[in-house]
Formats: sequence, structure tokens, C-alpha cells
Amino acid sequence: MEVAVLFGVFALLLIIGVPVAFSLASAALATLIYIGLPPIVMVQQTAAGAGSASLIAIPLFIFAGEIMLRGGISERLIGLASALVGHLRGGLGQVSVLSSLFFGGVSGSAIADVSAIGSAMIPQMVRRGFDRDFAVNVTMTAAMVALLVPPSHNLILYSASAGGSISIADLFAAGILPALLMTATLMLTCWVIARRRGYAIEAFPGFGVVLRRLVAALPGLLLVALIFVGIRAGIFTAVESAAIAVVYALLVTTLVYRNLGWRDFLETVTGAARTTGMILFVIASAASFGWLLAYLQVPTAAVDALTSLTTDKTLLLLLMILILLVLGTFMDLAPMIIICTPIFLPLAKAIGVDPVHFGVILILKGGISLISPPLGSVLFVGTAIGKISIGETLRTIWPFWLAAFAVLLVVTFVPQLSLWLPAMLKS
Amino acid sequence: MADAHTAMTPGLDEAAANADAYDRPRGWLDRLASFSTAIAGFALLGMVAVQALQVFARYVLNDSPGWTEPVALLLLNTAMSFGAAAGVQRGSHFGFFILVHSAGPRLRRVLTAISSLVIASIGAVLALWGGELLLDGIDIPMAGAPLPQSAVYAPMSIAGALICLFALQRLAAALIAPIAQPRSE
Repeated sequence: MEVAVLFGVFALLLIIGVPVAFSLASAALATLIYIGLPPIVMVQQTAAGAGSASLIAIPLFIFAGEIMLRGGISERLIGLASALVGHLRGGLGQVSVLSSLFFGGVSGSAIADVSAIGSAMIPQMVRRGFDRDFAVNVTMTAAMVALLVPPSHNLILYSASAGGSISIADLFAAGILPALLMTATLMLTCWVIARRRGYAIEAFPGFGVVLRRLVAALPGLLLVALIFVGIRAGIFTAVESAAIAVVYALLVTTLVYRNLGWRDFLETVTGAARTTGMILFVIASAASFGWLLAYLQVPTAAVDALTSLTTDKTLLLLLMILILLVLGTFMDLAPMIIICTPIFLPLAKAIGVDPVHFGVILILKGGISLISPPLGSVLFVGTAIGKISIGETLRTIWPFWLAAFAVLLVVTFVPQLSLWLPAMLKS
Repeated sequence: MADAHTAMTPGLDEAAANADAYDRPRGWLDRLASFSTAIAGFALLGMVAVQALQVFARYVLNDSPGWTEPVALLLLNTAMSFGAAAGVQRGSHFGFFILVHSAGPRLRRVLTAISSLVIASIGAVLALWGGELLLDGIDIPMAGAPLPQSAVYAPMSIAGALICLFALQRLAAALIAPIAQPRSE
């Protein structure tokens, strides 16, 4: 009954439009009162939820992402992607996918990324003769690539949600090959659809242009490399690397690119502060919810319930993916990671899935949920920017969705794809 | 980025804007929200400075100060709490707003009112109990920094009061505003 109160209050409040953080806190408060524990525990756990040192990296990566976006780093990375693949069939669609690989999930929110990238790319694509549905679909699916690439903080969030015991360096390394596979698959899908629809091909701008754009984008590429290598080599902690990323991005955008003026800087700080408040408050609120999940032994019950259905690892993994896909269509990635990790990670461990591998699966799957009909939240954002109905999008999103789902299955059932690189870098 | 997010995320703000009636509160509460965002922004800059100093001290001075982590965590709590409070006023928190969007004007008013009440209640709980926890631990020193152990509850308590205030303002706006009539094409 206690579990029903916890989930029932949460679901009810979520459905009637109470924001996730407040739904989580209210559900925890109601359950504490119901089971007779001091309700002040909710406040203690909320404070404790924001008390993990690794979480400091999250607002700093958000800040670095904002600086990249407003200070011209992202623009130059898109310019490089455009020079490299803009001439392929599907042109700007290919650019969207490759750009996402280059600069990662700048805000950590797939919804915000699609808002930012889509606002720039979708109108351009429509002007150059691409159908609106194609422009919207490719931009929405491209956001999935970004979720696994630094400075995206989703993997840090997963590590923190798992109690901080999973190495962030391993998680960053584990995301690279799946991100490359997703990039290649989406670019191929884009190419096939563009060919079918007969989109025009643009001329290759020449190696001179590629070289110039590479030089211009190099500081941005070095930022991603700095974060990755710094953490991997043990020079910096994840938190320190995030602070260094901020300082580096500020230096590049103010001294090298000279794009970030005082007003832009203030807007950058304001934007990062707002996003930080939204994301971290969900994390903190989820702490009391998570504490109750553990107190009520929900993860153990979930493991027992699912393993009583079948003990086959493949079936259990598929079942888990299915449940997570459904849950993920109702909320953005950050709340989904925070709520689902404590429940499903024990199950994953119980059936022998490596926690690092499970993190990659969870985030990749979360990305797919966001573009999954009928309720994926990125669908609403992408279609609003593209000025197209959801119905029109759903008719043609399937090739992209299936391609992404195929990658998810490959990543799920070929653990080496996620685990080989971290092991290799360790040795 | 955040503006794009705010504009596109189907939050309370959008639900309110759609109704033409529950527009985002203006005036002194708007300025208070901006002040709240400014505190969160300063905390964010403080976190960057503290972490950068830590790297500098470790690699250049060869002496890692012990106070950086507790101070950075306090700044994290400050950025989170005040950023979240400003998010209530702007209606930019994550949520699932399909029912609110698809509801008619009367139901939407009711849902917005309930949602605002829930948010105000949580804000009040954070303010009151956060304050109590702050006072309880005020004499116990924090490990590593010359601060009270319960200092982390200070931003949460103040921001809780702001959350309550902003939510009550939204509640009042939703209840007072006239119900929008369907537009005739």
C-alpha cells in the first residue's frame, strides 16, 4: 500500500500538470506521513540529494555548454560539419547529426538541445528545399547522438543516481562507440531518405574550406578532448574538468573568437543558472523519493517481480527496455534517469549486466523515448519549431526511429561495444 | 538556450500563455525572480572560481585546500535553490503538461490552481522545516570549512519561501483572471 501511495500520488500529480520535482517531493511527503515517519525527512533528503560532490560538474557543464552556444564555438563546429558532410545527399540533415556528435548535449536536456539546434537548422533546411517533416525528424533524432558525448552531463547524472560508485571516466569512454554507431546509422538513414525523395546535392566546398573550418573549429574540438582526456588520464576529476571547460570556453569565446560580449555573458550566466535550478531541483527532490524506494525495498521487489516472469537474460533485457521506453515517453531525460536508475540498476546487476554498459543503454533508450510516439516530449518541441503537426511527423519518423532502435538493440546485446574502449584505455 | 527551453518546453508558462489569462506575473515579483536568478548566477560563478582555484592550488601551489568541496557544495545548493525558485515564477520546470494543454479553459484554471497550490505547499515545507534544520545545526561546525554544518539549509529555506510566494502569485493570477472565450474564426 505504501508503494501505491508513493507512485499513485506521483503519477496523479504529474498527470494533472504539477512539475516533476514538486510531484516527487509531494509523493515522498505523502508517503512519509502515511507510514508514520517524520515528514521533515523529506527536507533532509532533498538537501542530501544535492550534497554529492560529483553533482557540481553538472551546472558547470551546463555553463560551458551555454558559453559554447552563445560564444560561437557551436557555430564553428556546425560550420566544420557543414564543410565535411554538407555535400552528401541529405545535406543539412547530415550536418545536424554530425554537429550533435561534435558538441554533445550542450544543456543536458534533449528538449533544450532540439530547441536550440532546431531553431537554427530547421528553417535553413526548409529554405534549401527539404521537406519540413524530414527537417524535423532528422533534427530530433540527431539530439540522441549528443546525449552520449561530453560535455553532456547525462552520464554524470546516471553515476550520481547510482550512488556515485560508477566511474565517470569509464562512462564517458563507454559512450563513444555507441555514439559513433548512432551517428553513422542516422547519417545512412538520412542519405537513403534523401535519395528516395530526390533532394538536390550541394557541391563539395573544397579541401581548402574544410581546412579553414577545421582550424576555426579546433578550439571547440579541443574543449571536448580536454574534458575527455583530462578525466581519463586522471589529471582532473570530473568536477575540475567541468570548471576548466568553463574557463577554457570563456577564454576562447572572449579572446580568440571575440564573440562573447558582456551582455552575452550575462545572458549565458542567467541561462545556465535557470537550467541548473530546473535540473538540480529534480535531482534533489528525487532523493527523498529514492530514499523511500530503498526504505520500502522497491528495487528488490522489482527484481523479484521481473525475474519471476522469466530468468532469461535476453528476455529480461528486452522487458526492461520496453518498460523504460514507455516510462521515458512521459518525462524528460534527467528525471527519467534519476527515477529509473535506483529501480532498474539492481535488476541489471542481478542478471549480469555491467553498470557502465547499463548506463549507456539507459541513456540511449531515454533518447529514443523522447522521440517515441505518441507522447515523446521532444516530438512536441521539434514539431513546434518546424511548424508541422505531430501527425505529419509521425507518418515519416519511423525510419529514423527504427534505425535508432536497431542501434539500441545492438548496443544492448553487444556489451563489448560499450565496454571495450573503457577496458582498453584502462590497460 | 534557457530562453529557447523556456519558450519551447511545455511548462506552466505555456499553459498559462495559451489561456491568455494567467500571464506570467509582472511587477515586483518579476524583479524578485530576476534577483533570485542573479543569486543563482553568482553561485554558479563562485563554483567555477572555487574549482579553478582547487586545480591551481593542487598543481601550482602543491597544496589542496580542504574547504573547497564544502563551499562548492554550498554554492551548488544556492544555485539550485534560487534557480528553482525563479523557475517557478517563469513556469519553466520540467513536467508533463498534455492534460493541461488539451483541457478547456475552466478545467485548465482548476488544474493550474491545484498545481500552484501543490508547489506553494512544498515551498512552505522547505522554508519552515529547512529553517528548523538550519537552527538545529547552527552550532555544529562543518567539516573542512568555517561554517555551520546546517548552512546548506539556508538557501533551501529562503528559496522555499520564494517558491511559495511565486506559486501563490500564480494561483492568484489563475483564479482572478477571466476565463478566455473560444476564438471564432
